[in-house]
Amino acid sequence: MAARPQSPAPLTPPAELEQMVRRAGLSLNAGQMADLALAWRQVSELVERLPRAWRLADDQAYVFRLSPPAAAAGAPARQAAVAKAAGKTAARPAAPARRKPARKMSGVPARR
Amino acid sequence: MKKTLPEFPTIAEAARLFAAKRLSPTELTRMLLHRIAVQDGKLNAFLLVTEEKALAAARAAERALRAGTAGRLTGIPLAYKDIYETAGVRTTAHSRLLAENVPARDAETVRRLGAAGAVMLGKLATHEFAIGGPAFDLPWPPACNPWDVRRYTGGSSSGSGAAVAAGLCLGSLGSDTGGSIRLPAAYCGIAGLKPTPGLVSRRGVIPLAPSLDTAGPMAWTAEDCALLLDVIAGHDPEDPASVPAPAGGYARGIGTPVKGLRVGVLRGFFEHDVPGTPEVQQMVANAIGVLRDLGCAVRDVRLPPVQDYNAVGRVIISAEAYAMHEAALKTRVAEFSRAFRVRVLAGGLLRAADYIAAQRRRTELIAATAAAFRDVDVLLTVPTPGPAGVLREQRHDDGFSRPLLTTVANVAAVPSLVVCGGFTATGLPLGLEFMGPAWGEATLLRLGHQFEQASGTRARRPVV
Repeated sequence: MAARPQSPAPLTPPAELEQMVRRAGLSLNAGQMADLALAWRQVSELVERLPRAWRLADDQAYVFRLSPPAAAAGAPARQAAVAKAAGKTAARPAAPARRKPARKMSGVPARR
Repeated sequence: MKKTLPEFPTIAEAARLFAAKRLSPTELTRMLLHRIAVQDGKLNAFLLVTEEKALAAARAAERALRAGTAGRLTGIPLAYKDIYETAGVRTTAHSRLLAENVPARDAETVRRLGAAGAVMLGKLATHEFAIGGPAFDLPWPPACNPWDVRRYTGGSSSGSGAAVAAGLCLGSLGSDTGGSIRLPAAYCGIAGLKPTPGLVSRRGVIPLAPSLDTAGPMAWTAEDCALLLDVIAGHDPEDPASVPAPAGGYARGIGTPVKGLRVGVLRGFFEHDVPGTPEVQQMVANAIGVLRDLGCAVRDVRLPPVQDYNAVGRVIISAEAYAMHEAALKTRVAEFSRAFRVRVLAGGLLRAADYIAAQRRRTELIAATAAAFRDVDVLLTVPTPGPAGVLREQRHDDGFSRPLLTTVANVAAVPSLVVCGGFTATGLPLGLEFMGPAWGEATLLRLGHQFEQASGTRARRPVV
């Protein structure tokens, strides 16, 4: 069971990497760029390992799968998703994303 | 507590002691709160201890026991990885970005455990957003391994592994996207189950990579994992990936003999792809002997190389994790840990075609893994090639530069249980991993339980 032989991914030139970062909308300092350069090289090696030679007719398989009509008809998750897509308020009001801890909360931070 | 009572009761033992009125939930909760106060300064397992809530819940459990209205986990003290939302209790994901986040609602799994009578002791350390760690540039330090506090717990359910192993809580909830339940289970010498996708609700669990994320139990024994799974498994219409499949009965069948079970050994994984240390090889050989003694039929089995599963898993995790956090990475990148940035930022440079290629390859690997279960009931491998390394020497690029054995089960969409398989000569635990076909949790837990019983690995506890 030999692992597939793998050649190191070519190093992305710094100018090209900076362009990719800009295109992604990121703003990184020099240290963050250096970390990204290392990580990107490693991720590129993983990407190189992914096969690309596929028969076009095989492409149908990995897309999502719907529930059978009977199961889907009354599914609350589906109803909630439809309501959300329509911009309606869900049955349960959404919680605020962040809130200050209540003064009487018994949870005490162990360390900060 | 009376001297005749166990110092480290399991969930199953505690429930029996409660029923026999030899121990009360308040006594047990106080004992664990005291242990946390004494020991957690060395372990950093807890981000938050909810002492008042725990004692109130323990008193409520006593009332339920007296009234005969106890649930399946009444009075059992648990703690949760801090990516599980808890109503009115801070949930940080171990990140300064969520340092003030107090959810209004419990995660579905937390809700189910509370409804079954469990007592929440607090919230546990993780890697930042379940991926960035161990990190020393965050408001809270990383958790340390109770078997040797200089060593790594594994991650990302790091506090869960440490707290359960040290006996600071009887069980925990972790999450597993590429091994985050099973790596700390292995390094901390406990049991951890990554369930089949769709069996356990992820509603209210802060996501890492939704197409691979799973939520599951961690405890000292496989039997305790079964008791927790009995409560948390089952359809949740609020998790779109939840499957309305039959669930439950995991603990009830745990004593059914495993004689005749067919076990396939993925020898290529730990002898060739990610070679294990000589002690790991010996531990596997010993484990195979135990399984044969239990009446299992053991033979070698092959799957595609670990590197193939790892490449798929890492590309998917990078892309999805970046997408989850893109807005914050564009505006608050310096507030994340360096470990998080190293592991996630590259996802922003991936092309859609790369992500699709990973998903395509995943479908092949799912099929290849499922085919292996035509000839065997369970696959045996190891989650790590050796024991826990030194905490300060952990590399941020693990999983990229070195493949993770555990990612196989995530990519293959199968359940996987890690139990303690043995110990090194220096007393560090070594993990053993059982993988089953989709929905095969009951068999995994049964085999894990009987292996633990036969091998005697549950007799040792770390001394903190």
